[in-house]
Amino acid sequence: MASSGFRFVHTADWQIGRQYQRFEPEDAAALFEARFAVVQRIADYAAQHDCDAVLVAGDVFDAQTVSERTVRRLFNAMHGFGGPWVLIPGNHDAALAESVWTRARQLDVVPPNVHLALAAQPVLLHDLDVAILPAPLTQRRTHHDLTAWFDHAQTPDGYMRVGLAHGSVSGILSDDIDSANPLAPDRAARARLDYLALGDWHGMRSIDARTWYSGTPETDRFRNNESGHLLDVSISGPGATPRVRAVRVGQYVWDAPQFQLSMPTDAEQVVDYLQTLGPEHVVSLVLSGHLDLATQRRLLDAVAAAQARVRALDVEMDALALQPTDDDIAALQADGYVADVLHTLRGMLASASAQDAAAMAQSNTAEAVVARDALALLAEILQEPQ
Amino acid sequence: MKLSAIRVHAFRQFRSGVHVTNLDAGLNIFHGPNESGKSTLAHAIRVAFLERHSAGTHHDLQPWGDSSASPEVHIDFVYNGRRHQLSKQFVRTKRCDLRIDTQSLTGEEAEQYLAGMMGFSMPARGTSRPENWGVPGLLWIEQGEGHHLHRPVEYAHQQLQGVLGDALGQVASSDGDRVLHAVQQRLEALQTRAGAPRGNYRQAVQEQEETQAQLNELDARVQHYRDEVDNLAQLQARFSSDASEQPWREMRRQESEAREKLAQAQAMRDQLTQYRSALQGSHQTQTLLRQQLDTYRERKESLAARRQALTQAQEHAHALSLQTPRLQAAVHDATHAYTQARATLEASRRVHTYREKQQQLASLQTEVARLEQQRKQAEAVLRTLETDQKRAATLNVDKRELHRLQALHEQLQALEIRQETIATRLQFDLLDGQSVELGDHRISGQSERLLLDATVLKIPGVGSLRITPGGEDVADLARERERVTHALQSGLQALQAENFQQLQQRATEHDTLVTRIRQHQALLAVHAPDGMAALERQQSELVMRVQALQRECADLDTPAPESLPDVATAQQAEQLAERQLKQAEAQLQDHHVSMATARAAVDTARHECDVAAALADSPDNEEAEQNTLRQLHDERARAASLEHQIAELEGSINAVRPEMLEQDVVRFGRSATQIQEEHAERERAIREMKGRLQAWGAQGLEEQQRTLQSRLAALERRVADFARQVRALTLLRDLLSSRRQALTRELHEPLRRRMLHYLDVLFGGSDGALDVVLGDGLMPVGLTRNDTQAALDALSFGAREQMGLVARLAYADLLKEAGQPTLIMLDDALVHTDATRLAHMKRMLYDAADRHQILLFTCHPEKWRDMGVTPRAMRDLLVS
Repeated sequence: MASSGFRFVHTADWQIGRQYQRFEPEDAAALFEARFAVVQRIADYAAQHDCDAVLVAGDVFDAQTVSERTVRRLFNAMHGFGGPWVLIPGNHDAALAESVWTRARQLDVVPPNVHLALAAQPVLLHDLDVAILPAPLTQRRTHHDLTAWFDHAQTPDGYMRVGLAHGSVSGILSDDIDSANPLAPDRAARARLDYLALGDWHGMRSIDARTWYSGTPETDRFRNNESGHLLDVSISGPGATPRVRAVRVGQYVWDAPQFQLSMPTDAEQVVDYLQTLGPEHVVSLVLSGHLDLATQRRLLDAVAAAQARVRALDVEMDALALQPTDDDIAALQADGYVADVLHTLRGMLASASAQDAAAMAQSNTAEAVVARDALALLAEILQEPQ
Repeated sequence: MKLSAIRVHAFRQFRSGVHVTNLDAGLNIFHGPNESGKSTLAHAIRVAFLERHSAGTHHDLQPWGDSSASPEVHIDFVYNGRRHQLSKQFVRTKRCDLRIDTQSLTGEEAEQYLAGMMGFSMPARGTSRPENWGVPGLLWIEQGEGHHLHRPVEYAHQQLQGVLGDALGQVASSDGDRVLHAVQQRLEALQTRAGAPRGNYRQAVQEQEETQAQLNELDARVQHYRDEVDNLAQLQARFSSDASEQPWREMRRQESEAREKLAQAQAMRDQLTQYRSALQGSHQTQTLLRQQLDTYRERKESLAARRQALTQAQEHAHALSLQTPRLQAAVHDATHAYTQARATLEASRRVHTYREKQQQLASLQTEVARLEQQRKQAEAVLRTLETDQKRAATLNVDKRELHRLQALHEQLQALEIRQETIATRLQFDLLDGQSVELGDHRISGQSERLLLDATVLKIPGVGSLRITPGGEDVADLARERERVTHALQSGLQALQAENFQQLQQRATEHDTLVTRIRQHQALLAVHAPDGMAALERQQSELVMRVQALQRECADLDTPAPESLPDVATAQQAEQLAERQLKQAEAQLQDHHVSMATARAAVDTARHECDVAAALADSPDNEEAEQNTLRQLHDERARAASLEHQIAELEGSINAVRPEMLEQDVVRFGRSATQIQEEHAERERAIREMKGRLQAWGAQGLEEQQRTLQSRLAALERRVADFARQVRALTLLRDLLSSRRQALTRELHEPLRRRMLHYLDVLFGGSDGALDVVLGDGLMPVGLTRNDTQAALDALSFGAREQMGLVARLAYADLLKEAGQPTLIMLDDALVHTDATRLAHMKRMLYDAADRHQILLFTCHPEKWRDMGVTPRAMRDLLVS
């Protein structure tokens, strides 16, 4: 078996226990569940594709003190693959003096095939002639390269050397990543690694031929960064260039489109977009510009319809100005002092539209937002059956 | 609308009827006392218009007790230039006919026509209620109801509103109030009047706050958990570092090293102690030896001293013995001197005594002589005295006896004289030798006798003659003389006196003698004061003394008086000699004592000398002393050696500083123990902390935290949504209300102007702004007068009644302007109005009557005479 090379799944940043405040509780709960489901799919994939091992590059848990149920459910989700799993802690689940790992061990839920690499020492998979060099985080934040020891790590002759680390590759990734834990960009070469499996960056990314971020298997943010995959890595033998294949395993598609509305046809685009959405979508829709009352009504109908369909739909339209047309007003059939009020509100909106739309979006307490809401309300009441 | 005629029949008190004709188009005043039918007339008009003719509830309209009557009311009026004739009958015969010019309406149709025309509604059934009355209810004021405006206006509101709305050309929103109401409802569902959240909004805010509080608490717990985990890591790091380094072992090593060094030092110290005690022993030995030597030396010295002392004692004794003869001689001399002095003194004394005795003797002899003479003299005196005394004794007569006798004598003499005088004198001369016996006496010779008593004269050989003195006197005298003589004679006889002369003589002699005896007694007292015997004894004593002295003198040597000192001197000399003798003797005595003492001292000294010699002069002593000296020498050498060794040891010990070593032992020992204890304690703390953290971790704190954060975020969104809604609703409400208010103000303006028109008349001449505030439903609610605003309800009854009329007239004006029919009825109105105000009200009414027909019913016609119309008396209207 060993001579036939080493095929393994590289994954990371499962963030088990993550919760989503920006969504309504029902949606958030589904997204919470999705993270367990994706682990199951990873296990299934590894089993179905005869993978030798699954390497998880940190941030398995989103927090140290998740509930016991969550811990148990994670290890249950891994049952589908009976081969070796090698897990390292990341910044969210660092191997602190007391950690989610010590609790897992205490609960006795870690199956024997799951290796918790909580210390910087090689994990030897003798059946595979593979030495896993882990760089677990034992603090929430470090400012030195935990993979430095790989360079001088002794591994048995003929064993492949695979690094497993969690952090940001210095000088390559932008600053707004999770942690400050730095990694040398040339670590794979310097430490004679056949492959360096990295975690922390939630998008999939290749640093070099042997150094990859798998990204999180289940997308958890709107940043468009190729998340939602596992990496199926095959290395034919020591020194051989690894073959890396990205396999989509994520359930949800996160999208955060922005639309600028200025004509009724613009709104049609939005409506069309909304119609494309299905239950796998998690969407944050940002609308700006202006629209008339009739269009707004149409748009809101489309949003309501989509919301009933998709996993989560969040529409941000504070920067969207309402500009009722004369037809709009006429359609409301307001007379007397109500018509008077309608005109006043319209005037307020018009004067607000003249101002910077961005400034208007800054605060939804702005007079224009209130006026818009008031106008919408008035229209609603007027159109109510008497 | 102008009524021209009213006819009422079989209507309550109008059994036969009332006919009112030629009604004025303006003001009409009806007057009469109470119960004259004013109100019944007004009521008949109301009933004619407002009540259903078909209602079965109008029995009260029938005259009292006439249940068969059909009350009927006929009213002719002109409206819009058309003549209307209304006839209504009730109860028995129910009819309603309305002729309008040529047009004729009957029954309900007529009634509905009138209701529409005049702005009221017919009741569905039964008697008409105030809600039905509409405009008439407002303009037809029943007795005592003038101040009630609110309900009538409310019931007439629709008509008024219609009139005013029409007047304003339908500016108001058709469903503005519905919108405003909806907005207000929605807003009120979300917040209280005070602006606090309510309902779901409030619940969301509360939940948000609660969740926030829970989250804060959970955040703190999570933070605490994290801190504790960090603490645990630090503890574990130190624990494992200590466990691998075992720092206490180094401490133990140092401790045992110090302990060893300390043991060495301790051995040296023990040695030092031994040396010191040996040195001390040596010093003690030396001291003993030196004491020994001292003893030897002292013995020798003592012997020498004793010997010297003996010699001295002997010398002293000898020296003393040399003095003995001298002292003895001195005593001897002194004795001799003393003897001599004594002798001299004796001699001196003897001489002195002799001389004294000589002098004494002489003196005595003189005395003797003197006494002798004295004695002689005394004897002489005494003799005389004795003689005298003897004689005196013989002579001595008792004085009283003497005097008695003298008296007797004198008495006798007197008696004799008398007797002689009277007595028989017998004179006789008898021859010699012859005698005769006269009585018992013999008489002889010549003499005379006085015979005093019978006397017998016996003449011898002649015979006896008896002579008896003549008379009794003589006999008495004789017997007296006899008795006195007898007494005298017995006295004298007793005194051995022969007669009284003799006795007298003897008495005289006795006195003389007594005197001389006294003299002699005095003399004798001088010479022999103590009596003769004493004198003689004295004398004999003196003589004996003289004799004795003479014998003494004779016995005394008579030394040569020249060589002798006087007694005092001799005595002095003798005393001196005695003292000197005693001194000498004392000296000698002292000397003897000294001698004895000296001899005893010599003996003692000799004894001591012998003893000392026995001690000192032993031949063994010398050898022992030599031995002792040698020993002392040896000991000194040994001590010096020891001192050297001690100094060396002390140096060594000081070099290692054992006290420091001791401290080191303790310090290292304690440090080791402490580090080990700390280590153990840390292990325990780690165990504990792990247990604690596991317990906390099992609670899934961060998962809870995140759940709560999600919940909080959702709640915050919800609260924000509510807030947005509230803001939008608030804006809408404010806009709608302010617009509506502005509109209402516009709507109210004509009414307000009309009211001000009347108010100006009513309060004519008032200073300051006059205004009326209109509320919803066209109701005046406030009055501003003299710049003071007052709520209408707060006005006095009279003022409210006046305001009621003002408002009604204003409504009537508006109705009139809108082409609506107006008829104003005032039943006994303005009774609470004062004269001034009534005058204003009259002007108002007069003015209103220019536009409206007014029917005014009053029981005070005199008050309304100045209205330019003739009041009609009710009684004049009755049909007879």
